[in-house]
Amino acid sequence: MSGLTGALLRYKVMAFIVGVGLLILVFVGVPLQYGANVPQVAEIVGPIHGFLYIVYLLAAVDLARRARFTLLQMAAMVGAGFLPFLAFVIERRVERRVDEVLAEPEPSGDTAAP
Amino acid sequence: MRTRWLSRRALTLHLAVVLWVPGCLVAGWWQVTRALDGNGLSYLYSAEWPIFAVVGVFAWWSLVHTDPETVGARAQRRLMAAGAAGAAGTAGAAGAAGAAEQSERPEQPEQRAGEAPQPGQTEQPAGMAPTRQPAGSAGPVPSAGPVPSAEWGELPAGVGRPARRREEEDPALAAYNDRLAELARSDAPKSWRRR
Repeated sequence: MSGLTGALLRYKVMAFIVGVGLLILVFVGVPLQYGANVPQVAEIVGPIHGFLYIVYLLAAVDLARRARFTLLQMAAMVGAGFLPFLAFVIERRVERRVDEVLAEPEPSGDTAAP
Repeated sequence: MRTRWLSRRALTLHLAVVLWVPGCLVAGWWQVTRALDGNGLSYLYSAEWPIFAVVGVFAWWSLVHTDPETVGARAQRRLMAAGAAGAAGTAGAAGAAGAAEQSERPEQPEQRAGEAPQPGQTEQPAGMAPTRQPAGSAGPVPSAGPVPSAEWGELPAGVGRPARRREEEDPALAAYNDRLAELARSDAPKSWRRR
């Protein structure tokens, strides 16, 4: 796996993992902790999500530099780790954006035969 | 050098990292105070926030130093064009359709059943393949001649070798070499200062 498509796949995998982790944390862990006084789920999922989010960020940075994302697009990728469900939306958009980047025509002069 | 550090993109990156790092450090310190108040979970979080700050610095540095010509989308397009050109060599004009058609390829008489798949095609997630490649961009790679088989020894002398080698190379290295060749062809001054 290499190049832009490899970076996209790595990012998508991490986006899915982090997205699911955040959903568990917000919709299972936190209600159990504060509603039912069962903090165990949040205590386990919270730190794991935190460290996986670091891996997610690294994958996002790698993709952003290869696809030359704007700062706003990068901010959306960062926000995907904080807002539930955002990771899945952003992941779709990021994939579409990478598709567009790959489909852009080569600048003239760049294709000159060696 | 100027364009690297003072381009509009670079300046926004500087601004972002200047906001990001202190933000992470403040949040980390807040978690430290919570940890000292007896919140066990906050010990872990107070370790995570400084890491976020470091990731921010790393991101800033790597984004500022990434040359889109060599590592970015343009390099990847070159690679995909090379893969499409290799397929077009045997499968005719329709061969550029890419990954989706890979299952049909053994029907081509000159294809070997055990031939190694071409990296430019197999590595595409479904749906984002060379189908969108403009046919003209297949130029840089010699597309005539048979697609070489997996075994080097079976190659006809000379024919097809350059294309095969390019595909076996690390894509980043191939893109880098392309860039070097481009620079060598141009009359650009050799000094890095003038970039």
